[in-house]
Amino acid sequence: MPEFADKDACELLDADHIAVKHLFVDYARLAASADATETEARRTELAMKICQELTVHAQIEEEIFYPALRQAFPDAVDLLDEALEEHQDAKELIDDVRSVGTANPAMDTLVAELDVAIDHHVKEERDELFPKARTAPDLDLMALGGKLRDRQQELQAEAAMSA
Amino acid sequence: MPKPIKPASNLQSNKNGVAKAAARNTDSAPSQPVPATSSDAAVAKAAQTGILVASMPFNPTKAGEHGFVNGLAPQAGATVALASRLPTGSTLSEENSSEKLGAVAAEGVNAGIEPLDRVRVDSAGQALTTNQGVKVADNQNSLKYGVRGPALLEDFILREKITHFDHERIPERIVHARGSAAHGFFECYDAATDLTKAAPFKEAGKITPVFVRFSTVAGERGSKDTARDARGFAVKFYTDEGNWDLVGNNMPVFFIQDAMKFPDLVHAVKPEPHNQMPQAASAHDTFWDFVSLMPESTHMLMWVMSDRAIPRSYATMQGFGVHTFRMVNGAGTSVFVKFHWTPMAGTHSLVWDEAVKISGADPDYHRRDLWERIESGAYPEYELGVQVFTEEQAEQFSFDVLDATKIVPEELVPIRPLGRMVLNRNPDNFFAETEQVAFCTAHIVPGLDFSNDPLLAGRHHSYVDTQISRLGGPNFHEIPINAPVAQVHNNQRDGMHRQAIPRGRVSYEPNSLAGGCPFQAGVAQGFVSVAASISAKEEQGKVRAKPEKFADHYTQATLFFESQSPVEQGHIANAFRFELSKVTVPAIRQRTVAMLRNASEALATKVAKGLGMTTMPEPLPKAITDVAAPEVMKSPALSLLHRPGDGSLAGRKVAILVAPGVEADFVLKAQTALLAQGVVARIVGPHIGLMTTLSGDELDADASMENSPGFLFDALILADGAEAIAALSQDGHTGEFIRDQFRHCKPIMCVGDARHLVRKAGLPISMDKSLAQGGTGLIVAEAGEGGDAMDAFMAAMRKHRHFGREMDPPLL
Repeated sequence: MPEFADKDACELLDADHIAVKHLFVDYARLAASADATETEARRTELAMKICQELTVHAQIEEEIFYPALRQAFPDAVDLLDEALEEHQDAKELIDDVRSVGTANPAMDTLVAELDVAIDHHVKEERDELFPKARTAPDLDLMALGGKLRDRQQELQAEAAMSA
Repeated sequence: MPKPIKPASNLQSNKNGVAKAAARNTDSAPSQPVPATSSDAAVAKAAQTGILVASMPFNPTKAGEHGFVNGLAPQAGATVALASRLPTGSTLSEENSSEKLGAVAAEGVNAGIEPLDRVRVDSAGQALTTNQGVKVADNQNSLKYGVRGPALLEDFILREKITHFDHERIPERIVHARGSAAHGFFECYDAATDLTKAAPFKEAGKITPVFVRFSTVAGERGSKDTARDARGFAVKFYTDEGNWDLVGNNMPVFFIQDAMKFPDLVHAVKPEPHNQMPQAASAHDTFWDFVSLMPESTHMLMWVMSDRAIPRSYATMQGFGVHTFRMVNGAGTSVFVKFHWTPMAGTHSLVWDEAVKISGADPDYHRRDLWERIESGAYPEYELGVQVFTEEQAEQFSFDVLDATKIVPEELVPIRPLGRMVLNRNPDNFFAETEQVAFCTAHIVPGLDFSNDPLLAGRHHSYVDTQISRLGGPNFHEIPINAPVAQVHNNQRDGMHRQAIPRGRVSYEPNSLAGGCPFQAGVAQGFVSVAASISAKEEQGKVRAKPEKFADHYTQATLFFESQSPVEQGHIANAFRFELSKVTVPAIRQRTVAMLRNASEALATKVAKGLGMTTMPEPLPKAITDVAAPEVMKSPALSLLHRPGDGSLAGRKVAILVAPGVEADFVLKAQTALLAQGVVARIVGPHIGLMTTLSGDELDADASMENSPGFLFDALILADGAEAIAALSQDGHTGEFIRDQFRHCKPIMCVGDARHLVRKAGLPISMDKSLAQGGTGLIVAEAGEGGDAMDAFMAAMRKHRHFGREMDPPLL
């Protein structure tokens, strides 16, 4: 559906969630298939894309979204601290995936672990953080969305160059 | 009666008279044998009977009945050649025939095993009759004294009709009451005589007829097909050496380890006895109370909470023999086997929200699917394979192969394919075939044998026992669907509804009066049990206890959970959440979560969170703490993603949504393209019937959104056409149709402006990145380019579901 309008901050972040979920599902399908050795290259490519997408996603949340929420909702500090902790766990898993390098059963297990960890994190954001953000009186989610998008594009361009 | 030969003398004549007179009595007889040369039939029968009996002066096999060695190789029973058929007949008068009697029984034949044609009924061109064959003149009115007068007791036509009607129902099966069945055949790939001498595996290409019944376990006869439950997968092989029933399930393990607990399990899962609720559901107190006190059920609970418990079709589920069986070859060498049925079309499941909705709109979903696949030639097909291992190997395993709560991982023992089964004919009559079919685990043939699995032993008893009451007596083996194609000859007699008319007066063995027949077949042809010893435990006597390894309740539950993809793990957690949320007693939830902690901490935590538990209960104490290390830590073969099948789409259903003004060229093109792949594409409109298309032609919708909601279809096509889109857009059904397709992660294709229908249904803006990325199963074709997108659409269908869209709670 090409004619989507611009997204607010929650929608932009959720678009990342859904898109990376698709990548995880693709990866799991290939990893479970009987001829898994034939899909090494594709799995490696998917794993690297997942890692890159999640790294950028975590960074824009940490730089822009979480601070904005922290300001709007002083009582959300526990939620946000937990979210940061989960980011830290995810980053470690991402490092592990990257250090495996080429897809193999060890990477399959790590990617599955990352998938489960991200699912958990996404669910908390969607169930707890987004409703808060959407009801905050002084939070301009559209403007925040714009900032997130700009920074995301910047980081992706950097990643593309270094790749 | 032929005239006697002229006597040689008066004395001889008198002697003949004596013999004839004596032979005309049914008791007492002369002391000396009568002459065998007599032309008098009665005399000849007496004489030949005498010779026949005399030719067996003693029972020559008696000595061989003793001792272990003889027990392993029983001799065939002694027989005597018959000089004629006279001595073995019931009556001399069998020579008289009639239209009813037929003639004399064919020699050595049980005519009751003839093909089902012998009992098929077709009433074309026939008048209505009573059960006595009397033509009924008036089937509209009872017999009364005067048109307004009292009904008369003499009305045998009314009374016969009502009486039969009153007795149409038989007791339903206590478990597996809800089922559907089909005929087909098993074809052997290559001779497997190295493994077994069982008839179906004797030579490459050998065909054995089968009848297969699929079922749910808990629900009653009329209950929904899509309940969360194990499915029965029972195959009756009509082999040329007798019937073999492989009475399996679509899951390789079970809740319990010993038949002693079977009634308890079934009582716990069935509707609760005080209020008879809930129907066909395990999501209630008594079930979870029981299983959380029976930690050996943990592994099976993983399967039942997984999508395996809500199959897409009977044609897309695996089957398993569950227990360990034996195969025995011609040399008498026996090995252990586990049976596996693998569907060629892949192992595919529904999702829970979909299963719940289907149960409302089409409780017969699986029955209909099986029927329609066969009617349309998309015959369900499965490969039969076995895992083969020796007793010595089994002793080394970390688990006990007699424990029905354990699998043998495919990574430990691979599957050897033996043949394929094709289901290619629907029954003519549900009751006569599907309802009256009677399976039993004890129905095996030479070349097969049992293990000592104590659950299996109990099943051997239970099936026949329940059938005696369900089918009204001990003669249900004579019901046409249950009769073997192999000859049936024994001395079992009488009982309710006996069909066979045995000729002769002998109903015992040994006998000489029937020449020794039917005789015991002996080791060469007959079934001989494997002389399995009870694995060096001779010091043990009668005991009610389990082997030690049965106490490992969690290792394989963990294996199953860890072998699932994250999406499947999520579904398992959600299923536990759903089921336990329906429980009314928090302590039962706590106990179940405490049990799950022993299998997977991650699962237990997720379930607990879903149930709003603020603190985690302590893990249940384990029956043993020191368990053997498992050979396999992860088994990809346990994930549905491992089993996509051959990619065939045959038997799948697609909805093409239309309304007046639809761009019909594409609709017809799409329908044809799908049909070429065996996919049935229904034209679904706001109502059924003719609709004027964009080009002014007419299109006849054969289903409506009202009578066929979206969740009944595997995929959705939204055709172009401004007026049609406007009409669909204002119909509330359209949004539901699209939302369910989206939520259940099914392929959706929209052509041209039909994309607005998807937007209107609430497609979240946050899907944009995924759509750009691709692989969502949402296919957007530009106006006029729908036909070109059909390949992409069918490729998306081959992936079955697109779980990238799945969020919990759902996006849409």
